[in-house]
Amino acid sequence: MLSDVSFTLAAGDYVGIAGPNGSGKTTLIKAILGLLTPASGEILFDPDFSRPQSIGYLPQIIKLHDRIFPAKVQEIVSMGLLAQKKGSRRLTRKDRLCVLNILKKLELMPIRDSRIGNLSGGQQQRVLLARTLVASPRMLILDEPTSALDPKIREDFYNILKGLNEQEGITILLISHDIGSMGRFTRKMLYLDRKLIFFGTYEEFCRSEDMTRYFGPLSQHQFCWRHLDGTCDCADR
Amino acid sequence: MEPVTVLIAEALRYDFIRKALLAGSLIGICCSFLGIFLVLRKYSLIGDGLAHVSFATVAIALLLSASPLLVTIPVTVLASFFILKLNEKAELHGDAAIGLVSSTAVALGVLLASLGKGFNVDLMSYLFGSILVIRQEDVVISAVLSLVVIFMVLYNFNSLFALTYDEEFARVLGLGAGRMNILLAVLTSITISLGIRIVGTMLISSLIIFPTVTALQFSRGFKGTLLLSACFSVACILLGVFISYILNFPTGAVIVLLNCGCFLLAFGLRRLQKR
Repeated sequence: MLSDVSFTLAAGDYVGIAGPNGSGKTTLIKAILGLLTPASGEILFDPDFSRPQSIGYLPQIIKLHDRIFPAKVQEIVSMGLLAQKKGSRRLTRKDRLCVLNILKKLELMPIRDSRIGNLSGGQQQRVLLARTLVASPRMLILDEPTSALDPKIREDFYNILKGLNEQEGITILLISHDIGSMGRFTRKMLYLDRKLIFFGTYEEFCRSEDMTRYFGPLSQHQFCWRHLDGTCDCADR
Repeated sequence: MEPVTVLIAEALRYDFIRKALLAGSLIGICCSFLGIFLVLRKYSLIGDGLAHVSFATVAIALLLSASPLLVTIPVTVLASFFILKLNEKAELHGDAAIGLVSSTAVALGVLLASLGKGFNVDLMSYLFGSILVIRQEDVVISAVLSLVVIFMVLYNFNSLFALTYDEEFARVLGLGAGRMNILLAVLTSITISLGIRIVGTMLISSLIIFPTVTALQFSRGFKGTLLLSACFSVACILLGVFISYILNFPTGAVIVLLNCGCFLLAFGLRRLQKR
């Protein structure tokens, strides 16, 4: 259960969502995605924002490791265009060009005919990001996208997201347990613990006395030390 | 012994062989088209479960002197819905839900078989299949329903593919995941009801599983795997009908063993390629 949650996202926001296990992070994004209906309250969108076409979703990669699944990278990426199609949801020549463009953009052309299950974790995650971006979403929702990746690939992945946010203005909601890394890339923090505990900039999160009381003796400084001693080239600075 | 080509030419002169080849090929395509979605979603044994249900429905139909096919299709469709609901609402895993429904159906079938003493021979033909004695009306119904199943799979191919790869993502895309699950259950039920005429209730799940797992040894893409599994399925059925005619073996068993042989060959080739 998740209650007492109220916040407003602006176009182009990059928000990190954090909280302990069972705090309601996945429930919140499922409600935004339309997979769950809130028992009370509303989720309002701009009139020109249509669900599901305007939202791209990237699930946890850990669910998708199936080595025998016989799908090529191109087939997986094409799947991202199906929300825009009606009836038999056939893809056109133009759609195939869109797929090739996004494969080029994310440097996936050399592996476009490879079976998804034969790729490394980092490559798989890049393919799933391509599947999400191929439909040109205005908002991206990512559920612990880097939890199965090693630090170097994780860093590359965060840099891709940063580019999408800064250069293309895509609004990003990112769930992660890695609050320290989030501070380097996201501009805002949303902290949940079965209700909304904090929503504001990362700087405000680091300096919040309420959060210091919430975290207890270790305080949020365990994540924020680079922010507080001025050595971080963080997104909100 | 005469050359095989002569024996095949002789077999093709018989109407019952031509009927068996037509109905068998179409049902084989249906089984392989659905098999890829069921196997990859780890629902392979739903075919087995529904086949057990069809055993009970055939017993009911024979007891009532009704057409087994026309009784089996609606009851099997209902049973597949029941399995889906047990899975969702009772929070039972798919295998447990299939086990509950299929064992209950077999118990019912056995009970009915003991009540209707005259139809046990007919019931046996549904247990192990008897495609060579398929009736004209069954051929027509099988052909029409098979074409409907094939069309529905091809029409909804992209949605079913997305659902099979990542159900949550398919739901986010608004692809009607619930509707697609129901469609898959209905199409599977129809195919099982048709397929028990070929290999029987005991062996029908092999027509769903074998062609797909054999094709998975070769192909890389999803469409390629689907087409290859259909080719394996049809080839085994055609070959099985001819072999059983020439050697006077039970057709269903020959078809399943041919499928098994294809799988072992494909598996061996893949292992050799990997070395």
